Amino acid sequence: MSGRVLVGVKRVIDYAVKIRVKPDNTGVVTDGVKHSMNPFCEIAVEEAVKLKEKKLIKEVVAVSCGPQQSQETIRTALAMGADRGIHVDVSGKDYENLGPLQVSKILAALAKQEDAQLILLGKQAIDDDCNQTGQMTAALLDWPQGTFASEVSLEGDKINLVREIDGGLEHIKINTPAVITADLRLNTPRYATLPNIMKAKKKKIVTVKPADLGVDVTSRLEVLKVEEPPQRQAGRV
Amino acid sequence: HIPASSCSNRQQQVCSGNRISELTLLYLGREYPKGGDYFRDRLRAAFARNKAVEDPEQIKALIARGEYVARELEALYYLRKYRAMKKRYYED
Repeated sequence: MSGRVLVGVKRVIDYAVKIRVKPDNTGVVTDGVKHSMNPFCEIAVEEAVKLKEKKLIKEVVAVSCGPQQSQETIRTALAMGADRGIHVDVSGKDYENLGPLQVSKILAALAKQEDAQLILLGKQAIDDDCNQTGQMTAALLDWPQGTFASEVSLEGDKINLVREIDGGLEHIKINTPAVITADLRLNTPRYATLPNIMKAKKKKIVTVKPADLGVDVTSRLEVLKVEEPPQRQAGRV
Repeated sequence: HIPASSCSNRQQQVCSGNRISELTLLYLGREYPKGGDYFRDRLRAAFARNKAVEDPEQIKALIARGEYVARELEALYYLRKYRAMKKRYYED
């Protein structure tokens, strides 16, 4: 076993920003808007780094798919303790249409290329709320999946996992290699402090294109319209 | 901030140590709820007030306080984010 973990990190509009829909209803305003790492991805990175600190795995590789700015998100993961980064360069129209299916194909290709033992992802992104990438990646690789993980422990070549499900907690044991998606209570992510950001500048980020991985990022989905939720009417008793 | 040229070696170590903790706090303070500018102005004032302190014990205590403020800020940011996620995604 390589002892290598791939962690997917997504650059999203910061959770505290008030989202505004574009006047033409084709999407939300992203220009000049503060972006940061998806909160559930932060939890995934933290879990990977903790596993490395416990010497249960050897290397943490942070992956992000998107334009040049996605490298900032990878840098944050490196500052949190990831060893190196892979930036899958997707921009323009391709980026606008990038969704879980294409990202899963990319992650599956990278997992094979990097001989990954584990893929750690956030359970969902706070922008699209798809909650699909982890599941699709596992299916494409024919790997077991532990989604909504609130506890993870490695036991030899198996993983004990506690999942947060409706009505309670589910305890499962899965084989490796596997895909795990992180839920809110899995851990408390460390802050990427300035000294760690400085140190992380020495770590390498490699840029690849989806075509290099044999992945076609054409989307089969078309966004018809994006609109604000209806204004809430005052309640009536 | 005392210019490096007028520092002894020991003082230089202290100067650069102080500068690192000031910069670390400045970086952390960007997202302060009352505004990054508000935080930066008060941070600068606090460091300027204590510029002339020479006693190593006092310096150690001040640096420790700076580290305490840093941990408090990290906790603040984490709690805000955690509570927002909990409110949005979980029905309790």
